[in-house]
Amino acid sequence: MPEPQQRGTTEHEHYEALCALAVGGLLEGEELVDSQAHLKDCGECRSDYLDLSRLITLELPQAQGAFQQKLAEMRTNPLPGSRQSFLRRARAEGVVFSPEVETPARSGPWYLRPIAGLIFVAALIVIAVSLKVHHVEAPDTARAKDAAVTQNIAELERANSELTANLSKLKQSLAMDQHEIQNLRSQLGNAATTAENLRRNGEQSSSHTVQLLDESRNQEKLLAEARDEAARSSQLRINDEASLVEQQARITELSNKLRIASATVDQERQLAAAGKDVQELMASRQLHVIDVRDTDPNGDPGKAFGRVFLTEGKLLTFYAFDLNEGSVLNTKRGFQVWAVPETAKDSPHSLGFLHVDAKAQGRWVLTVEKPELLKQIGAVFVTAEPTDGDKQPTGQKMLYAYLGEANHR
Amino acid sequence: MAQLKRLTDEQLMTHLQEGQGDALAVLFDRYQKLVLSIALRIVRDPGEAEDVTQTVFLDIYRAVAQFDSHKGNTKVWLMQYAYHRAFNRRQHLQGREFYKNTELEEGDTQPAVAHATLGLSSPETKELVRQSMAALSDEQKSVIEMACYEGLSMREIAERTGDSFASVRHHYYRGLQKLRSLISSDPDKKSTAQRGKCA
Repeated sequence: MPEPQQRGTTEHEHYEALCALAVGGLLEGEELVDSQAHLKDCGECRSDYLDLSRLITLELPQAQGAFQQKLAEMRTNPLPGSRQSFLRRARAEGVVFSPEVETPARSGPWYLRPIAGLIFVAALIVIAVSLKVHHVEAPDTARAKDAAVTQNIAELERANSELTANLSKLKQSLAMDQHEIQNLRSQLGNAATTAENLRRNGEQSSSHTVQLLDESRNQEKLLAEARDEAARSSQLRINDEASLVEQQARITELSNKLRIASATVDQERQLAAAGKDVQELMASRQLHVIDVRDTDPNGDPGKAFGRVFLTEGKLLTFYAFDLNEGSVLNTKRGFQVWAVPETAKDSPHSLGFLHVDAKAQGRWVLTVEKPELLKQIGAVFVTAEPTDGDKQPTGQKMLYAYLGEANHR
Repeated sequence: MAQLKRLTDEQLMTHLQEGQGDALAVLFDRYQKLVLSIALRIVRDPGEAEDVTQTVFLDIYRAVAQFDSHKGNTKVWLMQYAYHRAFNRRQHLQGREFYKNTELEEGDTQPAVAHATLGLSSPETKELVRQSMAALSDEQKSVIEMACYEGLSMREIAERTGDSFASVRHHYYRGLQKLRSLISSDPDKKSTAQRGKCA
C-alpha cells in the first residue's frame, strides 16, 4: 500500500510513483483503480505516464545487454501451433496471406546454426568464468547481488548443457546437410554434364541446320530456275502449238487446194484423154459402131444394152448400160468381156472386166488396145465371172454383139 | 515468400505498408521468440504471452503506416510494442484478479509514445541509458533491472533482495525519476519534484 504522507512526498509525487508502477503493470488493487481514475482527470500525470512509458518500454530495453536478450530469446519456445494460430487470427483481422505462408520458415541459414551455437557456447563459457572470477575478486559484494550471480551461473550452466545437447543435434543435422550437399553436388555434376552434352548437340544441330539451310537455298534457287525454264518452255510450246495449228490450217487449206487442183488436173487429163480418144475415134477409119441389147432366154429384150466402138486392129471400146450390178457384186463376181475370133469361134479370148464409168448413169466401160487380137475379132459378149478372172467363159452370155463389117469407113 | 525472407526488416516494413501480408508472416517468423521472451518475462503465463505476442504483431500491422525507418529500426519498435503490451496485460491481469467480478479495460492499444521521440538513433539511446543507469544507486539500478529486464514484480524483488516492499517501490520510482531527468531533453522534466501539485 502506498504511504505517500509517511515519505513526505507531494500528492503529485504520489501519483507519479503510481504512474511509474502502472506503466510497468505493477499496480495492484485499489492503487490501480485510483491511478486510472486520476489519470483520466490529470493531464500532467498523463504526460508523466507517457514519458515513463517511453522510458521503460523503449529506452531501457535498448540498454539491456544483448547477451541477456539473446539468451532469453533462445530459451523461449513458442507453444505448438502458435504460428498457425497467429495466421488464423491475422486472417480474421483482415490480413491477406499467400498460400506459401503456410510453410514455417527456418530461423536462419542452416549453415549458420551450428556456428552460431558454437560461438554462443564459447561466449557462455567465457561469461561464466568471468562471473566466477568476479565472484572471487569481490567477496564483499552485497548479498542480493551474489544471489543473482549464483542464479545466473546456474542458469548459464543449465543453458550450457541445453546448448551442448543442441550442438550434438546440430552436428547430426550438419552431417545430414553435408550428405545432402554431396548429393546435390553429384546431381549438379550430372546436370552440368547433361547441359554440356545438350550444348554440344545444339552446336552440331546448329551446324547441320546451317548446312541444310544452304542446301535448301540452293535447291530453291535451282527450283526457281527450273520453274523459269518450264515457264519459258511452256510459252514456247504454246507458241509452237499456235504455229502448228496455224500451219495445220494452212496445210489443210493447201491440201484442199491441191486436191481440188489434182482433181481438176485429173479431170482435165481425163477430158483431154477422152477428147483425144473421141477425136481419134471420130477421125478413125474402118470403125465399127454396134448397139447391142440383151435378151432373155425367151428372146424377149432385157433391160441392159450396150454399144461397141471398134477401130479395126487398133482400139475397142465396150460401153454397157444398166447391168444387174447386184447379181455380181454380192457373189464377188464381175462382168468379163470376151472376144470371139473369126477363125476360132469356140475359143473366146478374155478382153478384161467392165468397170463403172458413170455410176449415176449406170454406165460401165472397157477399153482394149490389143491390135493383133482386134484384127481377128468377130464378135464380143459378156459373162458374169469370178473377179479373179477365168480362162473360159462359164456364165450365161449377155450383150452378144456381132461386129461384122465396118459401118463407118 | 522466399524473396521476402531475404529482405531487411525495413524493407519488410515497406512491403507491409504496401499491404503485403506475407511480410507480416516473415516478421513474425523472425521476431516471434524475441517478443514472446519479453512477454513471458512479464506476464509469466505461456498462453497469455502467446496472446500478447500475436497482439503485438497485429498492432504492428495496424500501425505500420506510422513507421518511419529514419526514426528507428523495426526491432526497437517491436520491442517497444512488446513491453507496452506485456505491461498492460500484466496490469490487466492483476486488476482482474483483484476485481474478480469486474471487467477492466486492458489499456491503450498502442505504445503511449512514438519511438525515437528523443531524436536519437538506437545506439545513441543505448549509450545514453547506460550512462544514466551508471549514475543510479546500486539499489535503484538493481531494482530497475530486475523489474524491467527480468519482469519481476515489486514483491518478487523484495523477496529476492530481502528489502521491504515499500523500499523496493521507492528505489524503483526514484530510479526511474532520475533516469527520466537524465535522459529527457526537456528541462521542465529534469526534476518533477519541483513542480508542485497536480492540476
